[in-house]
Amino acid sequence: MTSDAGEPPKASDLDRLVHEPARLMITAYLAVVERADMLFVQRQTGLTLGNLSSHVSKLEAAGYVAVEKTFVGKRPRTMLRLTELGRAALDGYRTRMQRMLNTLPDDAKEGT
Amino acid sequence: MGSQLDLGALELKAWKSTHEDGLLDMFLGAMLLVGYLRDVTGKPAVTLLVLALPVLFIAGKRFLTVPRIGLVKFGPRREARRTVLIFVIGASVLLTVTLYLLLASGVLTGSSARPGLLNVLMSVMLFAIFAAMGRLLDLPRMYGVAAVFAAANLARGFTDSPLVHLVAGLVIFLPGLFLCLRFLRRNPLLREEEAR
Repeated sequence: MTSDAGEPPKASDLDRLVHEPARLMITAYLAVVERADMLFVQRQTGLTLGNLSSHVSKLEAAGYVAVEKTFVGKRPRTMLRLTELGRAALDGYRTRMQRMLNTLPDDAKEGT
Repeated sequence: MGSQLDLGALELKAWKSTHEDGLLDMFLGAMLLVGYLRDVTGKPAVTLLVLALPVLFIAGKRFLTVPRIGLVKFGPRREARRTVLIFVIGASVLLTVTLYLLLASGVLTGSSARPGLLNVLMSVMLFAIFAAMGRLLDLPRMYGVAAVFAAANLARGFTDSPLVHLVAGLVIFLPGLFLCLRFLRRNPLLREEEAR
């Protein structure tokens, strides 16, 4: 999955599960807090509940996010937490992405 | 994806979003307004109203803030900062009370200190506490609260007018109320099928 340290990573090296923008935002927000409920992540990312649920399900299936469902009175509350695997995936993604960006010529980075 | 994902900035944004409800400002402003009520009524027992303020603050967080923006627990760095803040507040109060007693009794200076000096000491402590809150909680507007609390305390050294507490309280409370109303408008309650 990973390239040698000396070689620039290929696009195929990127974790596609994390690379998708909505899932990247979800994992990033969960990386900076200990845990949060769906509403908090929904508010921070601006995703609809359906969209968020769909992405969280994929992240949960991959073992990146732990989901805990509880009830507060009669209202359901779904707490989300980034797992160690999820944190490692995000760190790896950031490292590879940064290395890829660093291999671009300067004028390409500046968008000229 | 042109720029690196800044997790520090993301954490700060998430943190600040939980303090945009204005409740802390209203809580602190209300403390001064209780001081005004006490001075106007001349009944020291009115000060006991201060005890109700933390209850109202917690209730506001629970019934206004959390249902609108959700529940979050921040990481160990924030917990550590909160511990440092509690230590700083405790140490400031202890140091000031000790100095206050030493100065007032004349142990340090040989004669009782002038009330003005004690007043300045209290003002410095108030500023230090709220400035520490601003620094450790990443809430820059607490520096303004620090200045208002310190100025109100200093002003009370020159005048007995209860208006000092009223004006200072409103200067802190009203922006808090504005923040709260803006927060409620920007974060309406979601229908049950829109939020879990």
